[in-house]
Amino acid sequence: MIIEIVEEGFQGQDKFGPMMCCAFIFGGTGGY
Amino acid sequence: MQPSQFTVTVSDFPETGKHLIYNTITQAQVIIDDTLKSVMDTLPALPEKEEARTAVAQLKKMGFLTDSENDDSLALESHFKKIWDDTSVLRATVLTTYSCNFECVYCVEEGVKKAVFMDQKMAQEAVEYIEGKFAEHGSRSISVYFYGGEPLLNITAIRTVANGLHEFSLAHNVPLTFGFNTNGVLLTPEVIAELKPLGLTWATITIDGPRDVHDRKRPFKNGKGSFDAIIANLKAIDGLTHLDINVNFDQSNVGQIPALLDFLKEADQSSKIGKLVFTPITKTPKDREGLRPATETDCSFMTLETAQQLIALRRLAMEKGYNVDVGVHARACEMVLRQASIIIDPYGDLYGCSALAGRKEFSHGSFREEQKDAFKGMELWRRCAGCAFAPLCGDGCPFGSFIRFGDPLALNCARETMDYFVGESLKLSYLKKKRKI
Repeated sequence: MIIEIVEEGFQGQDKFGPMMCCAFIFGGTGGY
Repeated sequence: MQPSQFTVTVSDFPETGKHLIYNTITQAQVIIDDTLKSVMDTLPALPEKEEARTAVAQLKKMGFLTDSENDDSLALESHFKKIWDDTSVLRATVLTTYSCNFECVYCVEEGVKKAVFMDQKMAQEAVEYIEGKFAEHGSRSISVYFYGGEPLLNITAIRTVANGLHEFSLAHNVPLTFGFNTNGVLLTPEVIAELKPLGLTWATITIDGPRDVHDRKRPFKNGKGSFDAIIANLKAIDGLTHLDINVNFDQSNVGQIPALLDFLKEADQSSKIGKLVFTPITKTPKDREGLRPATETDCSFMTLETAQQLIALRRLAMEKGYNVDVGVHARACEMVLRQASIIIDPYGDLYGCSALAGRKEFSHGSFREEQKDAFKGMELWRRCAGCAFAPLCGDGCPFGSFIRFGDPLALNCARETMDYFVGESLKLSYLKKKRKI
């Protein structure tokens, strides 16, 4: 069964992580 | 009912017989046992036990399960529409100059760097343009990112833009924040003291390794090392603003980064760093054309090996006590997926992506004569509609496609890398949350 809810998530899908551009998938800074 | 295509499973984690499931649209994360995993695997047959039915209903509510493939398609459509419709923050990137006082061996701005500085008149027009876009999009706050070249080489333009927008923010009660990526040699306590009251909230300094490594990769234009000047500023800043440290890596320095982490700890700087960020060095157009020696360019940001190195660096940094953002985020390309995003270069030319700035063929005019941005609002993600990671990568990075193929619209899929990277990031994130690293 469900052992643990780690993150509820956002049902409204209205919250997104910070985004600054290139290398974005890896969470880079978007600049050197 | 069936598992959503956006549900990713990390099997036998955190221990054998338990499984971490994650939904790339809702971002929900849950640990389930073998029994519930079997139930998920045998859907649409519903379990008989009440407890299992309740669990299934909960998983459905959190997005892990869906009624049909069509519902998944609608969810993805809605996901990108919400990103597009979200204009609450106007994001403006202002390139104050194409000039730089460094000669980094891997600079991606080759062919773009030149002694061009945004002048006063242009900076004032940039303020007016940003204010106009703020009104046009009905935004509620403004976030500005100063970029370059080295943005602090033109602090006059930063002053003008920051002062202008600060006045606007006071007059209209609009929250304003700004920051910059800088090589660090001009980021002094005096600069922070001046800009902080105007809205400076963060800065990122890049250090690529211990002194000898950093100085080889990020020398001044005259060839001299920059490490000591940066470290001196880092010590002088001493918590005056939120400061992140970025470390660019490729094969030539990845092995020396642990020594940098130890150095910063010994110099008593680790606790003053907001966040430690590792950025894989991307290739450049010259690499595509085979014009640069391979030793500096082994590390393209879409490879599995790069992702493995990145995960290893993040884990090591966490083990050494640094704050590292290890989470998986639904990020969206500013150039294609967000409408309330603008990039202005020193000439007043407009771009969709700061990494493509200076390459005139990707400009959509200037703020004096704006043209329709052909990239904005393109639904490139539709060609990835069947992929679990589509909400995270949104068809990837156009700049990456440009670097690899010469065409920002070419599909640059990193599915294999994502399989690994998302799974490992989820593990690190969980372990961080449980304080097990």
